[in-house]
Amino acid sequence: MMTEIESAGASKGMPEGPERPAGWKSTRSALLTASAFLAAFALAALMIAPFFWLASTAVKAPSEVFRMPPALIPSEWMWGNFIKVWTTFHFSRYYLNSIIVTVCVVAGQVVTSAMAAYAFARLEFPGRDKLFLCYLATLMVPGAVTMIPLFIIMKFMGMIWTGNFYLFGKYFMGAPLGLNSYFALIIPGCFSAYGTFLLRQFFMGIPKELEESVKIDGGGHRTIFSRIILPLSGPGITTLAIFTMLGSWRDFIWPLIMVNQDEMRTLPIGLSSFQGIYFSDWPLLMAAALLIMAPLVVIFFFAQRFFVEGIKLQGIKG
Amino acid sequence: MSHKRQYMATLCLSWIGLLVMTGCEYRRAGVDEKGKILLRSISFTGTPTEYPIIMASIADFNNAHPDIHVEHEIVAMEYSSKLLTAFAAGKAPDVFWVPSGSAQSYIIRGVLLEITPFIQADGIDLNDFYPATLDPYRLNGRYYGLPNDACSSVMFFNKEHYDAAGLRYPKDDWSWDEFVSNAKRLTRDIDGDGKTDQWGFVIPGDIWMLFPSIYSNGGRLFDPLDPDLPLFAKPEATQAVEMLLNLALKEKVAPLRGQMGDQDSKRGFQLGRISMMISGWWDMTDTEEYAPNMKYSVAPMPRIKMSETQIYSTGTGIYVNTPHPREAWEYVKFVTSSQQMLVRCKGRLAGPSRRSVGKDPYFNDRYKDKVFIATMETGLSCYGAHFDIMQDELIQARDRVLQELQTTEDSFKEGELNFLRRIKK
Amino acid sequence: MCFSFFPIAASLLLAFCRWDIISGLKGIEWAGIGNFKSLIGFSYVVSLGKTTLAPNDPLFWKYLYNTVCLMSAIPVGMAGSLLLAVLLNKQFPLRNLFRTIYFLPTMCVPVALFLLWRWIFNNQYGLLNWVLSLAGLHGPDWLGTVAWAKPSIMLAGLWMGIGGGGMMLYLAGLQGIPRELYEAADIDGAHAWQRFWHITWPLLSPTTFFIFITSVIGGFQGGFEAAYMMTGGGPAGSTTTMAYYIYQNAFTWFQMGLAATLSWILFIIVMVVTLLSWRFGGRRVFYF
Repeated sequence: MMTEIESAGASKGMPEGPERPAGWKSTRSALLTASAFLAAFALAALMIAPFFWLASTAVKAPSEVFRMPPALIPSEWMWGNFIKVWTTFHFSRYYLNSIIVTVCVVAGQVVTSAMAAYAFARLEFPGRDKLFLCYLATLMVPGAVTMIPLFIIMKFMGMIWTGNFYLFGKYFMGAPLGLNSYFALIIPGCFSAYGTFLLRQFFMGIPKELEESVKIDGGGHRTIFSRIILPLSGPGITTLAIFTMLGSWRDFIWPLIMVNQDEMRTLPIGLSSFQGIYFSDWPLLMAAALLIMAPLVVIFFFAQRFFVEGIKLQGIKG
Repeated sequence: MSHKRQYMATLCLSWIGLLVMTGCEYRRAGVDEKGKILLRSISFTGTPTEYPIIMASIADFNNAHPDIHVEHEIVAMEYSSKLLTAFAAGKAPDVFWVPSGSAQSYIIRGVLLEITPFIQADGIDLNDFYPATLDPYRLNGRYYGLPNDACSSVMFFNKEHYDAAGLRYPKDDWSWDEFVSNAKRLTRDIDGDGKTDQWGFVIPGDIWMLFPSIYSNGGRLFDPLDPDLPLFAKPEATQAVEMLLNLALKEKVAPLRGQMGDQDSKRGFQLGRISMMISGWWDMTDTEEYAPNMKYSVAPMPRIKMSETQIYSTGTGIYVNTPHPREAWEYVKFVTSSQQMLVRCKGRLAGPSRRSVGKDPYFNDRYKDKVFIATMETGLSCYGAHFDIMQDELIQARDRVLQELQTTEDSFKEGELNFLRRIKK
Repeated sequence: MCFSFFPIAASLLLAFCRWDIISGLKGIEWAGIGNFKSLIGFSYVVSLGKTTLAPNDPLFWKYLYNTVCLMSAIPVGMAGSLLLAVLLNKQFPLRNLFRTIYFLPTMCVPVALFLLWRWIFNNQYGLLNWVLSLAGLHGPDWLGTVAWAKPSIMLAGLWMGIGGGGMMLYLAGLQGIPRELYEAADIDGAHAWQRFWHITWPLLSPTTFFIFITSVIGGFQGGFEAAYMMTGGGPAGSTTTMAYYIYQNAFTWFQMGLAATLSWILFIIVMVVTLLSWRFGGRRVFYF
């Protein structure tokens, strides 16, 4: 396939290309950089404008939220809103729960998805693609109708082993199985057809030629998986990890249904407490949203390195 | 290199795992209860400020009853999803809040415990409750819950706008015509650009706020004797709806807004863009919060044929499968007692459902509260076996009229047909 | 597996039952294909002396149409994400910051975002119309009119999604393209467009295929949060999607059986569309 691309480029090659003066090229690239920067800046301004309002609401007094024309900068900075969010509910405990659940779900989903994806991308067995479509079909049933059966399974599991765990005899750690357990919050999130599909696409994009040398050395699938596929799909795995993290961190309805003890609540349930049927506390709600988002932003900012500057495929031409 | 790293990682992980495992202590269920009976209860909230007040009242109950421990959970969003899932699994909380609209659905399907024997045994004076607030929780003369608070719909109006227009504030017995003529006087183009800046009225986004006019015109939503028989497409009802919607469509004294809850129209009221709106108790709390300097008051609904309004209440009921009905009743009795009701009223969440609380001196110098309380005697509750489906059809019917797709009569007729088709087994 | 296949099998069974949820498991009644009939069936209706063939549930068709309409934003969103990814793959200052900014909506809790957008769209006092009025324009009633409600929801959806998952996937995909190919093309003197069309686009095709399939699957089940938080499905049901209809049937109207039936009808539609795109799109996907 490479040759096709190259020949396509070659047939349309322009003779004056290589003869351009050296200075032109750098000017051109500087211009390109500048225009890319400007475009990115303009778009970023559009993207961030609503967030600006969100953030300013978080530090306003309620009486200022709905003023017209909108007060973008609050006249009085209510930093206390953040403290209020933190102290009204057990936000530190919610944070801990969210971290435990998210870390486990990310780890679980990445491992199961990677193994399943390898099977679907590299193993040859009859009906492989049909089986994959069946797998994919699990994504097509809306959660609203599977939630109740899943809840009922969890309820029965909770009856098998009742009781509670306490860390160091003091800190409530939930039930072993069933309602109010980390198990119920984590396990259903650990298997995902989405993740499998995502990694399958990435694995299929890895040149098969790379595996030849391993095969020649007599290595099996296990070696190919750990030596070739995994190291080369860093961006894919990081992407999946970030998606899973987002999904699990922001998940609301499942934890809400599975948990009825305050100690086991996760962050989005805490946030929803600032909503009522008749009115919502906008400043506290927005402040809570920012508090929930903050760790994600930090992680994303630094994790970019892993998938963006992750790997450069070498020696494909060979 | 990579092997070494892997080794280190495994070591670290297993070490942390070991630490957690050894630190974790397992206790069998019930060990920590100290012989107390555990009751689980669940409620929603109207406003976030309710949270501490509800929790404080739970603590009061637990202190007053040494042998019972209530574990209360407040679910702000998706209350019904959570409760229904629990019903499905047969594992619902022992006590839960029931909104008056859905009460009949729950009663008919047998998830609420009948509490008539308890009421009789403990001599609860049902006459102390405003009659309309009890209706949703009763079926064939038996009671399945008691209202812990209630609220009616009234007309909010901006005093400054009234003063500026030289209008007298609405009296208790003001008529619909007076209301319309006021709304016309209050609709103004202040800056003279040909566009209205101040509207006399706003079409309520909340479908419930249509009901007072229907009642006031002698209409009903359901037949009181047959909760499956809808009456909302009868002329008394559609005429009233038409009169209300025409304020936007024909009279142009209200902005055209076809959607959303009243969450947004009340902002217009608070910003001084809208002079009058129909709403409930909670918007007094909301206005105190978001527009503390606003000068406004409330008046009973203008009468079309009779003085009526709609009443919304929240009741507390007991799950039919609870292992501790006696204790659950103790809790219901506590929540619906005069003393607890007054605590919640002082928290500005909702009005009282008991007359004795309505007469409390606390309300004496609170004119607006008194207006609300006065309407409680005459109002009607909205409820029915298929109330939620009816609500959906009414919303659609109203929207069709506001989008000028159909006349009110046709639209509500269609809504009635759809409703009957949907509830038929 | 037990956690995903058992609930799915249970929902398939429920599709042939009537269940109001409230009365618990004992309240489940067998309904045969009655649910399917009442949702997608047609029957003769006599009105005004004329006999016409009418759908048993006109709402179903309307909401299906709404769902498909809202899905028309998918290609736009994908193109936007690709463009952003290509842009952000270039070297320029503060690139990491920009990526984070575009990704912000994806990281925020949906509740807060939809509340925010509801306020932005408010026709009388919203931010968008306020900005437009500064420019001397008179904005429409975004969420309040049948004509504008769908475009408004698409607009909010694009804002939330354009710098989100799709862009991330494209960025990751772009990293997988060997630089040597571009260098070779440079030597051949190819235009930026030629480089994109002959190298970037074919090599990104597995990513595009993935995004397309998952967006279609997601799209058919989408629109729930927008309807739930912003419009309540209105005005006149114009923003109710299948997902919201399913939810309402299950948890607002106590008709779990109908909700399950709807889910399975939707499942069949999604499956057919996925198979078609698999068949025709799969061929165009280019793997090494």
